[in-house]
Amino acid sequence: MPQLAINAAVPRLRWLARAAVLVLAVPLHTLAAEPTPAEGLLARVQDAAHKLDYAGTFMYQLGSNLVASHIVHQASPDGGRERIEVLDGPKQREFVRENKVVYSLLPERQLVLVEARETDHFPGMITGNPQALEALYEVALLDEPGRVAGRPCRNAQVVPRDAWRWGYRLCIDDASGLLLKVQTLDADGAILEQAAFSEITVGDAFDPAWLESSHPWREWPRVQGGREFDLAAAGWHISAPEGFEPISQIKRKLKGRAQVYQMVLTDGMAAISVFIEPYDPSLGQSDSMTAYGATSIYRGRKGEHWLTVLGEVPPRTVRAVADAIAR
Amino acid sequence: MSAVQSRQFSQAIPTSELTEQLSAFLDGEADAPEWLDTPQAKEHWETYHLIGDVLRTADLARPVSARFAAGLEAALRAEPTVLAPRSRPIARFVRRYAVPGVSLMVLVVAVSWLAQPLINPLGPSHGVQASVPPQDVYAANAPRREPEFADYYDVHRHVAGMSGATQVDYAPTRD
Repeated sequence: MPQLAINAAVPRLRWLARAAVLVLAVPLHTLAAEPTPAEGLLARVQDAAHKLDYAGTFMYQLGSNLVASHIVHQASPDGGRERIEVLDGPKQREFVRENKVVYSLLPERQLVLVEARETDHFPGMITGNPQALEALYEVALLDEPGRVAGRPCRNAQVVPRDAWRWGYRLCIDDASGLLLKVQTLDADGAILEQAAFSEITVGDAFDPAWLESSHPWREWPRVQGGREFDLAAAGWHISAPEGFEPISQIKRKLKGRAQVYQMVLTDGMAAISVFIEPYDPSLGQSDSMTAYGATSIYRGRKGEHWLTVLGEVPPRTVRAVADAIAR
Repeated sequence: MSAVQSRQFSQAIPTSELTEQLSAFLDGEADAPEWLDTPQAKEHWETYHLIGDVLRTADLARPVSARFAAGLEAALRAEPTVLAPRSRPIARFVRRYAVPGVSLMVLVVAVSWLAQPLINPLGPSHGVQASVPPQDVYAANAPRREPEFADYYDVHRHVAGMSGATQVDYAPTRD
């Protein structure tokens, strides 16, 4: 019926108009080619998270656990500044990011843990080139209107093209393009974990003074969290299902452990960490597969070494990575 | 080396350098630093091993035991500092004291949590063929973390960028 067809087309036109306004408003110089709607969506979410000034409170839920954090983000040409204060829990925790360096503040010890970070976090979503994600995930806009933190937002679904990844449901701010809500879903659509703003201020009302911590942390001693290390040069071969690429290799100390080597891989959406350490028979560890929220954790012995492989991916993915590790 | 000498020595070295030297020593990449037998070194030692805990796991962030500290001091005093030091005695010491100590701590925490559904075992991996993928569907109510996973989990989430989002009070609920 012609009448129905027209009704269905109107919201789409309105959406296109909004998108056009945003494309003009935000300098999307990274998008040289004309993007398909799906590519445009993830790139726009990423762009908004990086290029806007905003401050707000978001809730993060893992199973029965719920925690609120306050985030302040200021865009800058060198990668931006950010301060995240965790509002719940017995201990004060605060994270200050300057470009790619993250300072974790430990007020009770007056200590700062320094670590480089390659990946992104809420309300950012992706690492690397958003166009490369098209081969791994299908992005679809949903007609059902959304509302998060009192703001109208656009619902979208990110569906994995294979069984190596979780899916995601997003709600993207109509006004700014910021990601307001993300849910990680399993193959049946069950929610594994989710994050959402409960209130947010974007743009003009932003005050750079919000970036300042109440702690004099710049005077505190600093401890390096880990150091770069080349696992391939040490004879390790680590491979992963299609789309996952290594982004960092670190050696670090964990409590009560010998030296632990860590490789981080990502497919642009989800990250997997591989930890390798000497096998210690006295610990009496046995192979195991467990889950926490969206995180799957495999632990097992590989010859003289002990492996811990974990990531926000299905159990089969961490298992496949663990099985493929060779020396 | 006398206590007075070593104290003067350590005060002359900036904190970052102390940390760097201790780190290199623990990695087996350098000899034991001369200032190791000092109260300041002891503090650094504890700090070094607390990092994994303090990152975000509130219920595991506790200082190493007094016995450990005393043991370390005794072992360091017994150690001849004149000869070129090797990392083996310390490694042996860590195996003898630190590892059982931490294991015991983890055990105590684990036992106190046993009454609750700590983790969601997806089945032991032994006997599972690589071609048979484990279960991909979870209960909606995710389980608590097992304490021994905490460091790996926190470090992973930190690197994966979720540190601001995942500090949850993991202390067991006592009904």
